[in-house]
Amino acid sequence: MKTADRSTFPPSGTQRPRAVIVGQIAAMLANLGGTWLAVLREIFDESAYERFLARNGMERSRRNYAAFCREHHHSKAYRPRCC
Amino acid sequence: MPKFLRALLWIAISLLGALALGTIALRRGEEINAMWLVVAAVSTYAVGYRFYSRFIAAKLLAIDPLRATPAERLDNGRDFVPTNKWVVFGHHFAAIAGPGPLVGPVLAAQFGYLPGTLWIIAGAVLGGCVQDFVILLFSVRRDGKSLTEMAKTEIGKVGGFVAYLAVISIIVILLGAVALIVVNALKSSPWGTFTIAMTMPIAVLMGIYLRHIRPGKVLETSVIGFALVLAAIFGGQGVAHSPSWAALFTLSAPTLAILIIIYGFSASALPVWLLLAPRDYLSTFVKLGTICLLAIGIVAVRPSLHMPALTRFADGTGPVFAGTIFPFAFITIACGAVSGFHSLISSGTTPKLIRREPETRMVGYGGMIAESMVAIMAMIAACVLQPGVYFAINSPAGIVGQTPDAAVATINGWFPVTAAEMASLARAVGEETLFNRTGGAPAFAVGMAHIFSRSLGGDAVMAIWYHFAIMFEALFILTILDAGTRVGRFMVQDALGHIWKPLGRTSWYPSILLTSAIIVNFWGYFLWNGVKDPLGGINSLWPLFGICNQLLAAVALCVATTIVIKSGRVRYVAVTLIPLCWLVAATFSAAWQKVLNANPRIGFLAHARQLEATGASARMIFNDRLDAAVAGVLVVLVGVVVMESVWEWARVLSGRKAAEVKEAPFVMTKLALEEPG
Repeated sequence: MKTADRSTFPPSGTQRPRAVIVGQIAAMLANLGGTWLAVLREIFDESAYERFLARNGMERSRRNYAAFCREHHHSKAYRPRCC
Repeated sequence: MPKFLRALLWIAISLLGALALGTIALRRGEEINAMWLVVAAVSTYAVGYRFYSRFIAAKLLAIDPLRATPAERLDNGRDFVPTNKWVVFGHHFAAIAGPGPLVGPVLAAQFGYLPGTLWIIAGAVLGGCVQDFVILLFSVRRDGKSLTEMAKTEIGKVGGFVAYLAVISIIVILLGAVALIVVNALKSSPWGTFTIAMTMPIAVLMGIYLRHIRPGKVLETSVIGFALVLAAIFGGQGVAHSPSWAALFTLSAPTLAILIIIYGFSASALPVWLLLAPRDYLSTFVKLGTICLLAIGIVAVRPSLHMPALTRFADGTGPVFAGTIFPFAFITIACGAVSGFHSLISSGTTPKLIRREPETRMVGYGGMIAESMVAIMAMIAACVLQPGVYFAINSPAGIVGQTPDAAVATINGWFPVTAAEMASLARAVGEETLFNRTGGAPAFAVGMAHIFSRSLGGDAVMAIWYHFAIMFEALFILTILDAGTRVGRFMVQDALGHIWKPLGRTSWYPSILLTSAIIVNFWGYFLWNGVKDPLGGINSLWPLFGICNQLLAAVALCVATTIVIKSGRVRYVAVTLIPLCWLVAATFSAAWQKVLNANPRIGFLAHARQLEATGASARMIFNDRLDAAVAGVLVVLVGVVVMESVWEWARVLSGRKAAEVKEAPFVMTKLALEEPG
């Protein structure tokens, strides 16, 4: 995860311009949104599909997605869902 | 933050937690606000995470930030993938969160809010979180080995065999119990039945869309699926109001049970991409959204709890399930406090994704805290109901009477409720009746609808929220049913493959059909018995499931304690040994009572004798004896694992056996260099 660059912070005691604060909040929200999206993409196997394509040097296509499903769903089907 | 300010902050959090715990424990005879439960839980979890989990990480586990994890060493982009800790946390939470933490607390609310809440908080911080954390770390140190493999290598062959048997038993009983919850939620409910029936074609449509129209776009497909499910909820209202459609979707409990059994068999035999995978995605999508929504709803509404802290049923005469607080509250709430099933997830996919050892603390300990918070929300949803309404919904007809008047007459002896009040509530949620809707799901749905409707839409949309909650729980449960049936099928195929090789081939259709039929027959049998049980089935099945689940947790803690002793960290062994002793005490005494108690509402054998005396059918008598045998056999097997573990500890501690743990060799991580600071 990216962290805020502390060198951009003004020395304590000085007042930060509003634009800087808004920018930092926006960056924090973007970071949060990016992490949330990454979580969803992992949970919903989109990242696994990307990795599958990268590993095999493939492009997105129906046939390749079917190949991914054959490989991935086999291991997915072995996983019990918790109570 | 300066050190003294941090210290002050933690002192303030601890004092706030103590105040909230004191308030919920000592307040009697007046309603309290649900926020006291939230504050007590959040403060205790914060202190537990900050101090106890840190102590465990440093002293018991000696977590090593320089040690490479299997995700780094064995990275293959498929099973082993070093993944961001927040992503693993979300993935792990989505895997461990199921209907258990929603149903258990609702059932245990019959004792009042106090016993269940205290157990959820203390059980999670001192037991469940510890189990999930240590098993995750031990699996990481063993290249992501499963619990059964670790039991075999660290304790012995018997440990491995019993863990395997406990897993398959828990799956079968779990599937029977959760299927019964769906049946009880949908019986005589055309709206709910229509909505759930529609999720099946929606899942198939999603599967086809995902495979042929937008390959790989799972999030997009899930959003479309969710929109269709919402349309089905609104459509269900029309179905309920149309006499011809309502007649078609008004089904009795036995009919629903047969349909669910057929569904389980089909889902196990159909290709994964067509039904199982899209339904799983849809269920996860709804689950994450609804849990967030419920948390926001509780904080926004801050409802009062109408249920007293302790009810008269602490004496063991409860109508929801029979038995005293100890041990029955502790096995009724398993998920949310301590759940053995989590050890399968902590030693399954999650350890293969962990980038660095220190991250196991947040994922293992922190993930269980999040699950426990869901259980607190379920407790709140049950306790915002008027106690009379709660018992009218959750009490089986065999206890309170078949008709509304008879039920109201019985329940009025405990808490005030009227037939008119129940009829008005049923109309408000779009149901014919809410009497005898055992299983926990309808009571949770009414509580959730109550909270949601007060924060969004008012009473006018109470019926929509109720059916949204029912859909959410049933979707959860049906996903567990199809996934669990398939996992059970694979386990049976593995076993049968040793007898005749072709039976072990997971893609050979005769074997698929045979093994699916075997596993569906097992859980279908428990489901059918539950449907036919005059006491509602939940009285027998949920305690049996709780016993199985926590016996599995006992096996996991045996493995953990053995590894701790073999690692030479005996002075810290209490961290895993105390929860183990507690679980053994609770589950063994619960099993003892379920088998041998002289009260027919508690003891299976006493109930069988009572049935025999009244000339009941031989099959009902056999069912009770079967339940007794299942509980007895599991306790004996886990007793053997405990004894084998104690024997192993004695040999290591007395120096008769070398203290050797079977960890993967140390390899220096390269990932530490990539991180700032």
